[in-house]
Amino acid sequence: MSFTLPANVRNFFGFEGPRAFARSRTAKRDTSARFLLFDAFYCCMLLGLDQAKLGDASRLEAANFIIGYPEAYKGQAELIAGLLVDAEIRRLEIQPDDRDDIERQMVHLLDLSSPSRLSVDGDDLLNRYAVSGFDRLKVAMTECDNLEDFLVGYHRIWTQSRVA
Amino acid sequence: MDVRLTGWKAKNLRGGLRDVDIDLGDNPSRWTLIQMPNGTGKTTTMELLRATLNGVDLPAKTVRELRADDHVETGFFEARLLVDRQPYRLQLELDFRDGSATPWTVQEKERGGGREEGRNLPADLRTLLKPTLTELFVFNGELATDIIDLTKSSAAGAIRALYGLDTLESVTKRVDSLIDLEQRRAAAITTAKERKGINQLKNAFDEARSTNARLEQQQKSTSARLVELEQERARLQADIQERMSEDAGLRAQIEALDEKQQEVDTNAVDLSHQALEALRRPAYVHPTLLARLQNLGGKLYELKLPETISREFFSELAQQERCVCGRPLGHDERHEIVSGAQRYLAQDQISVINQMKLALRESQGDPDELSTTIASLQAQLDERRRIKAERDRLASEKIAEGDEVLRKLREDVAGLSDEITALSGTLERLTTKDPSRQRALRLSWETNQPLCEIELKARDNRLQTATRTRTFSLQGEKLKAIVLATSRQALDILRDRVRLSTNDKLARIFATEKIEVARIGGSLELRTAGLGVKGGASEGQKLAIAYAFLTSLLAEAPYRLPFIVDSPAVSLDAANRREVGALIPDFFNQMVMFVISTEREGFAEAFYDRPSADVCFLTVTPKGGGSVDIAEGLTAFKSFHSKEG
Repeated sequence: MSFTLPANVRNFFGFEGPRAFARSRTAKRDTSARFLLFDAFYCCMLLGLDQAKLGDASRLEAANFIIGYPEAYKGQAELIAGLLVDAEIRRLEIQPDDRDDIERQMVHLLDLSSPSRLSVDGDDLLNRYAVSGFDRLKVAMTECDNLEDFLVGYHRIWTQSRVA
Repeated sequence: MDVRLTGWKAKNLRGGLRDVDIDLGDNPSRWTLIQMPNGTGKTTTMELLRATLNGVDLPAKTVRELRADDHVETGFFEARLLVDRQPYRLQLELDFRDGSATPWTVQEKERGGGREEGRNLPADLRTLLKPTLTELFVFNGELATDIIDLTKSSAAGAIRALYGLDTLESVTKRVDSLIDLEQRRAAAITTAKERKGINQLKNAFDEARSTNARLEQQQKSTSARLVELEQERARLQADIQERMSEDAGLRAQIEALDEKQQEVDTNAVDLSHQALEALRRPAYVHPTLLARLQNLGGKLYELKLPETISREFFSELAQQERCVCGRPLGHDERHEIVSGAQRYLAQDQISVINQMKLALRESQGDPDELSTTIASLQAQLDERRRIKAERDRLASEKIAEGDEVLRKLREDVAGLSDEITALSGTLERLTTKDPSRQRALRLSWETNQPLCEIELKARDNRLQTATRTRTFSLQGEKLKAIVLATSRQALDILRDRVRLSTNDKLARIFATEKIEVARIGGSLELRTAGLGVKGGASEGQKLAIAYAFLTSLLAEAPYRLPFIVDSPAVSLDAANRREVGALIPDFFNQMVMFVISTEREGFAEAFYDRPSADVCFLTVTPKGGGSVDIAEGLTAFKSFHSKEG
């Protein structure tokens, strides 16, 4: 199963095929780092995990766009799994010392044999966190024409939310 | 294949059936005459014989009406059969409190026999014994003449039942219910079933399709025009740069700005690379995320999660002869170890948690790295804006000094930019898939292509559904017509076959007056050979014809069935009874006849001289208190007197 994009994410990031921020119709220099579909998913998902809020699965695209993680995220699977476990512990209001419940959640969410290291339910939950994160992203910033503006704006969401 | 009735038993039932067991023996006589006065349970016995044979559920009201009196709560009936010499006992357990009747079957076999719930007869016999057919061989003699009565349709009904033509009629009903189901399913999408409604849906679909084509064309032409305008604007901007560079006084400043611009662009690209690389590592995104990862890692160590002992350890231990402590392991210990092992994680679960735990423990990040990179990137973007503003300022000054060419170029760029902005708005209106933008711009399927595609699909779905439903309905009607024609044709063929077989028997019966069945319509139409329609057959002749017909019919059944008849000759005078008594017994392999004493004269008398091995005479006498006495033999049969007599 792995990952499915929230509906309209491709539009927000101006994806035309695999190329992001391609809203302008004239050919531009393509010297900017290649921003992946997974990057768009990951940015949404991090915001959703941060607020420990699930979105509605009906607002996901019909099919997954990737199985497992792209090469650029090598070594991050366990940390993303850790953030998911952490978000679920907060969302379900599991007490930090509730050993059994924490173990139960990890068994529920993790799967050694899965390309994402997550169980089917784990993949599903991560996708739903991306939905709520995308909502937060749309409220915080408008669509960008280029990667540079997006990176600055996205980082501002993290810093401003902490200040607030 | 052969079915014989070997007896029946009744308990706690109304009409003298408080405790009755009629045993016709393992090899029942060909003819059994049972003399029972009215009120001793003839009708109830016939009713329950039919119910046990055809397996139809008895209504609760009927069950309660079978109750012998208020002191009993349950009742019982059993019909005993030989099916191809194999004994079967079909039982009905009646519960008068809840009105239920539960069928049971007792079958004595070497293997797999015993008492089972349900009516477990051989499958083909179970299918054959429908209520309509059962009524033909567990037969009410008073209704025999109905077969000849032109106002009834008993004859045709009997043929339909035997040959399963009613199954064809059930196909028609099934087609109707499928059409109804399809139409109700389709009604959720469209109510159109007729040609006019379908035309309307087709027009609506065509409208959406042409709108979609128009929007698609608009989108293509708008996109193409935008590309042209943006290329034109880029060309004009290059012209502006060139024009500015032609000014010797500005050249040095322009070159410095170009150089700076290139540096800024390069820096921005490098910093974007660095920022994206940092962003892709959760621990670098923000201190909060790093803290959460480290806290979770620490918590897992603190809680000693996961367990170091796996489920597999205990599973393997349970297979050993001795425990790790040296004690021998018996069955109980092994069972406890295996069931207790379920509380532990499997090895792969432990591994994946450990991998995560290790990654969390080792997670390190410099949360300032991304912030620093982004701050540098922001500075480059600010510089880019400043360079642009500087270029604009230089151009404005040159225009102010009277450079009309440059002014014209800038005006053209501004005009193109306005046009590009307007066209971009048009393109967004045509193409946006974002529901919130569609709402904000008040777009509809007539102005927005994604919405138009959705509408087109919905209209196509309605049209397809209505068309399919109508086609389905028309095909259903055709199938019903074919089934009806098949049923009618089959009935005609079968009627004629039974008619010829009946007439063969009648030719042997009526040696002097040749009566035959001219036609089987709803009932039997008779004629006298050479004289045309026969109107005034005697009651005796009618009964003989009816039984000849029934025999011919039942002879076609895959099983030879016993003929059980109540009051076979009650409606006849003594002369006609003699006639019937002489004629019909030879028609059937087994005949069980319930008679009252008035039928003795003429009808029963016809059996007195038949070989005693072939005839069994039983006489049922009420004893009072709802029970009866059963006497066997001709003497008791002849000497019985009752109020009917």
